[in-house]
Amino acid sequence: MVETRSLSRVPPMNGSSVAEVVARLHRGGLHLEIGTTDLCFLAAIHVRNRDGEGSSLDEASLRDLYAFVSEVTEPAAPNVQKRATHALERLRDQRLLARVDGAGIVRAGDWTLTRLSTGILDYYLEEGALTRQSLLVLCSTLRATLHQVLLDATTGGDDRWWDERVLSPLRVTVSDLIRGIDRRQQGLDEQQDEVRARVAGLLEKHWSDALESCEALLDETARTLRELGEVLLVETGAIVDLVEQIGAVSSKADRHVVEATAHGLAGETLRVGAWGSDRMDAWDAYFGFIQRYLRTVVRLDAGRATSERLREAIRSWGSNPWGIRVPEPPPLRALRDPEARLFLKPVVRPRAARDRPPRQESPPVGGVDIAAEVASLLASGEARLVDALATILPQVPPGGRYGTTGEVVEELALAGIVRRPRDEAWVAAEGLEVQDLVAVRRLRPRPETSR
Amino acid sequence: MTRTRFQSMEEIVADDLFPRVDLALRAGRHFDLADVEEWSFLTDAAPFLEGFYARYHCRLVQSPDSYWYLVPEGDLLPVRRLRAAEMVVGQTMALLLLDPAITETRGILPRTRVLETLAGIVGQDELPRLVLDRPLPRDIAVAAERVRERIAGALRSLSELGFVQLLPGELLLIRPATLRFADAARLAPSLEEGLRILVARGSIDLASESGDG
Repeated sequence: MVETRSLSRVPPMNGSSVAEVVARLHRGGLHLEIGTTDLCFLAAIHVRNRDGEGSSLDEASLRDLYAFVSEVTEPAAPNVQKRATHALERLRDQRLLARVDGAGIVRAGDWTLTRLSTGILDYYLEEGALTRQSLLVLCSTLRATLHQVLLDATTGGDDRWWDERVLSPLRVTVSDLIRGIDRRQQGLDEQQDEVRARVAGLLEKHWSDALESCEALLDETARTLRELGEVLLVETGAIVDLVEQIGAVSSKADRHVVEATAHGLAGETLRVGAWGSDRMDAWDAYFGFIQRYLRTVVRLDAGRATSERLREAIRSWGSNPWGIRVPEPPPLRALRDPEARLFLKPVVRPRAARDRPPRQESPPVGGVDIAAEVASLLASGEARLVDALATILPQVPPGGRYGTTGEVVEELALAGIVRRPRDEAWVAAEGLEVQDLVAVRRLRPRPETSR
Repeated sequence: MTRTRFQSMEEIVADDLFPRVDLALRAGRHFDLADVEEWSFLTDAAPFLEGFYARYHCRLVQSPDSYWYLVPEGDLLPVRRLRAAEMVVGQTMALLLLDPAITETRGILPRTRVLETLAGIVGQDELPRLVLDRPLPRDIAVAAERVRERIAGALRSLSELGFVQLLPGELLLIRPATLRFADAARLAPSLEEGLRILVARGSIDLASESGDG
């Protein structure tokens, strides 16, 4: 809902640009707020007036009308008289109701609808749906008016003639009629939306039992739209033709304002025609879709059990997976373009065994007899690695000490029985760090090993 | 006697549409009435194309819903089975298509509806287990994001196969071929019986391969 708050007058907007109009309205703080009950109240006044009960109502009648409306829209709400008072004030403040002032004396309690409220109600209550009849009437009236305008433009005259007989009818009558067709055509959109909602509602409630009703509704709407489409197509073409003739005559007479107005109206008429054409296409697409839907979905599943089974299938897919088989496109081949290659001379060296067997080289030990040294240390009953290294390593060049340490450990293990001391800390030994161990002299001969 | 514009296979092969339609069918594409030219071509050429594709051990099928597609029956053409995400998304779209509310919008929906509907059926917690590969992300937010990516990827591949059309503004149009995902539920009073029928026809395979998802 749009809200209106301010009572300030809005200056005339004719000829103003979009920016000026928007700025002016914004400065005025305009907004409109009409609830359902208020709208129904205004509609009730409108209907009373239309049914020939006069164009104004006294306050008592208004309050009675409000009470009637409130019973329908808000039956449980209390204090209907108080609410009626507030409603009258609210609608007056928003210029939707006005007090009638006769001959300078304000008569208490006589109220009438304003142009604003009438315009809003016309939109909601207008039963001028676009029928073939109403369209033909509108278009005939429009063509007749344009014929007269063309005649007057061709006859020509002074500025006043052009203003009264050509420009004003174009700006007012012709423009209003075109907008009337456009407005009704937009009402057609709403009718189509309503038909779609009704079809969906019928199917939702009654499913296959609604087939006949849906098809009847669709056929009727399709027939109506086809008739309207044909009339609109022919009529808009004729209207544009007439307007363009007026534009051409105006141009010859150097009446450029008239020419511009005529061009604008031609554009508006073409837009109306195009809009109508789009709506027909959209309806055709919907019609085709719904016919297929009725045929393939509704008819084939009269009991509507498919949806339930499908829902269960989705729920259970994880524990019972299955898959639709589809052909798979072959993988892309990236083919190289042929390219020139270098010619490589073939290998001509004769085959021969070129591998040499590995040569074992011992690390330099400086002539130390490790077995004899270890045996000498073990003669006392036990020998520690650290002590053996302290005896042997000084005799070995530095580059060979690491490898010699391994040989000393091996000799200790072969010549004695190795026991690890409790303390396994790393200790320094001749430039290296080792974990010490203790070897005890064997009582039996050492095991044979190959070196 | 059905009138056709083609009198021989040579005329069909010489037609400008043949290469595009042939390659698309061999890539798993489904053609419905919205593909006006291709659908008309297939309808006119079907009597000859059936024998042509039979030599490739494939069957050219027109469903009762009027869309055309190829069913591989042998091993001359490579075959794949739709992955987990594609299957559950396809079935969800078929379920949405069976809802009368879809008639108001002619099958056009926001893409988010698919994920919302699927989550509503299987539950938010079950979704990652259904569509993601193991191991699953421990972080819930990361898992949710990966599920969304996987669903979006499934929609893209299903659109290439002609099951759905992706529209601007994060909308999609569910196409008639999506009803193929509902065949198992439509063909027989029970789902098991429906699956058996489809397996016998060669349309589906049961049991997932490793790496599905």
